[in-house]
Amino acid sequence: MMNITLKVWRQKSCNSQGAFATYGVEGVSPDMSFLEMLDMLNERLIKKGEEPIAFDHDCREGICGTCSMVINGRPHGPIKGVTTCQLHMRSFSDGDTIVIEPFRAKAFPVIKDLVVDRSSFERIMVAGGYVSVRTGNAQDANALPIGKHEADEAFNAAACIGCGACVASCKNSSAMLFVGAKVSQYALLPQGQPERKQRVLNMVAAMDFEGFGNCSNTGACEATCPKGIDLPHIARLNREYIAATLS
Amino acid sequence: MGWFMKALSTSIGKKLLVGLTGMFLCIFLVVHLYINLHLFKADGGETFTAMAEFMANTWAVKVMEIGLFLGILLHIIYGILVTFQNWSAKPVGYTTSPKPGTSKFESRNMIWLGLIVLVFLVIHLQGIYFQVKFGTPKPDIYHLTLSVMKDPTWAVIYIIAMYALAIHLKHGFQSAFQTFGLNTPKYKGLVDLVAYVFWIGIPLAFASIPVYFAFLGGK
Ligand code: SF4
Ligand code: FES
Repeated sequence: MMNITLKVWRQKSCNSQGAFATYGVEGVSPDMSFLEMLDMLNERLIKKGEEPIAFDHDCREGICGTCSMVINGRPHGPIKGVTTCQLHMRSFSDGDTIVIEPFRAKAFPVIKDLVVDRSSFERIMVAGGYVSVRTGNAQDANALPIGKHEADEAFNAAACIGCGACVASCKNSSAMLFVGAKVSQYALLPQGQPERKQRVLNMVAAMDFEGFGNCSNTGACEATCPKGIDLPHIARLNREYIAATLS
Repeated sequence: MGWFMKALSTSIGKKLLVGLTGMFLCIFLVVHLYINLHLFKADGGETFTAMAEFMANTWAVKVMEIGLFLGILLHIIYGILVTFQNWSAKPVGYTTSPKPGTSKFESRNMIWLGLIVLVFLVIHLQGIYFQVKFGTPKPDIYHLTLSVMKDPTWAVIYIIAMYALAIHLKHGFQSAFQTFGLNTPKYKGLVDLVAYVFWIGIPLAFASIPVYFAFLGGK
């Protein structure tokens, strides 16, 4: 069993001033997930009549992208390719002090404690993160040949869970890795072609409108992304944007 | 024209402009270096002077000179614009920074490295360019340049500026290719190689001139 000290950002509401609060958490099992450790602390806080720490979570298996917090300066914590919900306490040592902060970005305002409003991502998706499909019978799958390489690349891009860690880790709060993944996913597939140009123009416009910063190619997003989305997707986004603008 | 201005006002458009003007300035660096390296030629400055005169008196070069100043101006204005927007997009930072870090020093400090280069540029223009262009009496460019290169204080300023330029280019060069959309697995090797040769080679060659004349007894 481990004893951990947590320094957690507590903030009552979006408009109130926040501050760090320190909690000692005793009897932490190394097999607990990070969120289970927070659940345990919250149960203790509730028993003491204190307000539990608010944090986002849903699937707890690394697919929904809801869990969002910055652990020791790193969104989703210290392990590469892992979301916070899949992080385990065995990645820490007995006696550690762990600092937990909310994602920071103008476009992700804090709602409460560690919970931030990521609806700006939704609005970017509404602007172009879809394909229009006519209703009717599904056609034969072989009618749409897709190269293996394109299929793999599109699949890699589609692995983005929209968690926003890229924005959180970027010093400019740029959303270009996220938008790059979404634009790539459709640009590589035949289904994405009809709306290809308008998609990239609209999604970039929405991204700018929401107040995300400009990518300066620092690569912090790629280093932090739990799903391994990499910088070539941003290069593709740039290419798509240039082509859509010039044609 | 409307579509063009609109494109330049978006995040990617602004970065494209910074990248394109940066590349344009890189071409200028190569030309400038080519001329400067003739200071090493022991011909009493004959070639260097001839080249400088060609640069000063050819109308095509004069037009390019206007383009160059415009390029510098746009690079600075858009660089600042992008940086200010980036600062405002992250109004609150984190109390801890990740270890190991997730980004490189130069990528985070382009604006400051650029500022050092800009300060140098102003001193440089004032010390040589404006003297030759507007000075009365017009100084001889070869001897003026040589006297500057031989001054150890100047040499140190020069070396610091070239170091800042090197680090600025280290990020800027490959970053521009990423912005142009060319940093794909197919071209990455080539881009990295050219970038490497460029960010080390060009500033080093520039800095070798004052080092030679100020510290190694070059005549
Ligand atoms: S690109 Fe990665 S870090 Fe960004 S939202 Fe998608 S999965 Fe999360
Ligand atoms: S809770 Fe769904 S990804 Fe973490």
